[in-house]
Amino acid sequence: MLAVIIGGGRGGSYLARDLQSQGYQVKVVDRRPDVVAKLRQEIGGDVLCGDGSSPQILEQIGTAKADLVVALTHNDEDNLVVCRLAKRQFRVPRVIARVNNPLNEWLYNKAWGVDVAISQTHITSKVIEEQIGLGELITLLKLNRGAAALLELRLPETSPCQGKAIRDLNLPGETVIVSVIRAGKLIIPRGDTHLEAGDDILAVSTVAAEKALKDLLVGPA
Amino acid sequence: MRVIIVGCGRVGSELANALSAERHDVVVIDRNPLSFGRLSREFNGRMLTGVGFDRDILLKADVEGAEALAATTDSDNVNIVVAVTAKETFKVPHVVARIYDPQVAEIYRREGIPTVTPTMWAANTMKTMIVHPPLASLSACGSGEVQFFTVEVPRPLAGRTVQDLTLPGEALVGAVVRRGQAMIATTNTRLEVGDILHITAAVAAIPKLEKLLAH
Repeated sequence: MLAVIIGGGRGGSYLARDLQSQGYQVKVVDRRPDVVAKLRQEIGGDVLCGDGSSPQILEQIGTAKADLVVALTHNDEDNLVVCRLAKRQFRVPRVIARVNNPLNEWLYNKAWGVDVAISQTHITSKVIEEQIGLGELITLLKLNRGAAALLELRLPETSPCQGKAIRDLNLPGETVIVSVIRAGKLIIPRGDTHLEAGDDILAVSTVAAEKALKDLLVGPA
Repeated sequence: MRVIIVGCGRVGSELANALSAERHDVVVIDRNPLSFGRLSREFNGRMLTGVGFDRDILLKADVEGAEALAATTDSDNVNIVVAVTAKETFKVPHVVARIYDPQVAEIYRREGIPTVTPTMWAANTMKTMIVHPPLASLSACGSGEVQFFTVEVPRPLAGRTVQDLTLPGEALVGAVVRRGQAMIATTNTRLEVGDILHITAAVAAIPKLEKLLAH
């Protein structure tokens, strides 16, 4: 599998090594000769010095054969242009981009060729919000543009649901328990699965129903 | 007409001044407020400091009511994002972007964004001036593939007709200026010494044209 990373600063080089350890062949493009020199030492081979938003450079680096393109430059305009070219000219299956200025997040969408947009500021502030908000109920992943979430919770000793079957729990309408991990084993729950203290529960819920779910599983604050 | 110009550089400011002088409603956006210094004293429009693809700035510039937008920053990528956003998100009817890279310009032209590519124009025009001096280049169109020249009829060509200088699909004589009076050339127009010919020619045909003019 081939990954092309545009933007080889620290973020790019960490990602490159990470992807290589996952078995990807990685190629990186950066404008800065010193960055390119350093990268070549760190990850070997395919590092190209040039403007990664130029169609010629993308062609030269073999983007047509890439399975993944990651746009990691420090300029949102460059990232957007890279993504659009990657999707429309080079038909790359998966295109991921970093959002620099959160005010530009609205642009990182399918029209610009972006499959996944990563906004560090956004993630950090949301995590902080989450952590302060609901304590034991941890948001692992936001779904559906933030309208829903994958949540994790360890069922405490004091839980009112201990020993109860899922069908008897009266779960809020917009939630579902997806899995239970007990003593290292994964249980796909059915209506008659009973919950025990210490269970690691994964649930999917809309943002609106999160508090009700937490109150049910953990007890009200 | 309400026009938004993003990028108050040399081209952007010229454009803004010209449109304002023609009484259009102009809004100029630039990251750097010092750039507005390039606008003329008579400039009658609005100036906004900010990034041209920022949603808030565009809304402040009344992009929803704009009939045209020109992207003239010095960055091809900024111009692309501005132009595409104006066209696709805000449905501005007439959008044009200045793109230096000819290959990139072609990509966006095919996606429906008109582009102006000064690079090829300048290169083609200068090449003609350097390599083919007797032909005085007046201007060009498109990206410089077709040029407009003047050339004075030399003694050896007197008595020939315009037909002799016509290369179908490649070069033609548009007007003849004789003793200060211009006329539209016909194939039968007979050339006199001192006539100034206004020729439209494809850059590729210039060597052939030169040969013809030398006889």
